[in-house]
Amino acid sequence: MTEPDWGERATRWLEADRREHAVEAEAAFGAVMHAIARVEPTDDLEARIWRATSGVRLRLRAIRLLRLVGAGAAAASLAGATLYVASGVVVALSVRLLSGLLTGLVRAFVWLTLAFSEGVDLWSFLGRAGQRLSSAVFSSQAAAALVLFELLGALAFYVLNRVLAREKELSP
Amino acid sequence: MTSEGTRAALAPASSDQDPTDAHVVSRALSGSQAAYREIVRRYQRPLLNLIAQIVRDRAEAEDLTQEVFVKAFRALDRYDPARRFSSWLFTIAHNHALDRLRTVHGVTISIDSDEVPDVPSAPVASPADLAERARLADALGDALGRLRVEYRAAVVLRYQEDLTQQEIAEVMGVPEGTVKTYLHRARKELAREMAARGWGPGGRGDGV
Repeated sequence: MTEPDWGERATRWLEADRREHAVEAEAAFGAVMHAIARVEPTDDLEARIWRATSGVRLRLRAIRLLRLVGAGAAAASLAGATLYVASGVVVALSVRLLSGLLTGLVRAFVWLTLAFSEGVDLWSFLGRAGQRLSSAVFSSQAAAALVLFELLGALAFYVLNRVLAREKELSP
Repeated sequence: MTSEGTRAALAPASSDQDPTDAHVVSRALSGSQAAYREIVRRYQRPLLNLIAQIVRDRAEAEDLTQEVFVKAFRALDRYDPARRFSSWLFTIAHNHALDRLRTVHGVTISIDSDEVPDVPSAPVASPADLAERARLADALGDALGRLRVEYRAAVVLRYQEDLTQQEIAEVMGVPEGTVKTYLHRARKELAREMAARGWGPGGRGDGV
């Protein structure tokens, strides 16, 4: 089937338009519009655009580099500070735990010996053990360390969430 | 972005193996110069065509196209991936061309259809058909140039760039109903103009 010539296309459009057949006129007009050629760029337009945008592209590159360096420096500082604080807390806690453990063992041994010699029921024994354990764990240092790690965890989760959301938006 | 012309323009860049616009933009934001070049390669033609039809001056359209790319790259990190990238670029191009019309020419400008070159985009059957197409293109291009700039932009986006009415509304920053009105009135005015030039039943455009 041969395509109608351009004059016939124009006639179809104008006839449909005259008869107020909107859908037909719309389709016929679309066919007529193909007669108008698109404006094609000159051979050097791409090169001109490339030159014109070089400053912007370089600036964006520099900004990205600065952002990376800034983020790296911030991450390194945070990691260093965290390690410094954490190592201090961990060492203090370890020493405290070790000395507490040794002292507790000696006291427990003495207390157990006395308790067995005097006759103590199971509930008194468990209550005393629980009391000792809680006083060892819930020190102010341990609580501070716990809060610090919670905060760091929440921050890391937030950042990760933002990064993943951005990646998801930009992925094809 | 799927009209005959745009399809032809984007054909090498839109096969299954080529990355999507969102992926290219993502790579550009990561600093890939090849991605920037890909954006230019994909969109220089459709943007130039739209701008040229709005300002009706080829040399000025090329200058404006450069400026649109500068603007777009400057704002690339603020591009919302929820929008179609092509619509985002067309919006910048449309607004930039209108700004130029307002500031330099005033909104209504005189039109010389010869300034927008006619390059056949598809092979034609015969010299007679070629000549008839050229006559029709001349008359229609001239009539198009006499339309209000809003109508002209809507017609180009709809019938040359094949955007939907919703996308055109987004690009032009008007309600979809307004786009429908623009297109309807544009078609009516063009039909009147073409009929006055002798096109239509019994005529072949020789009456002018």
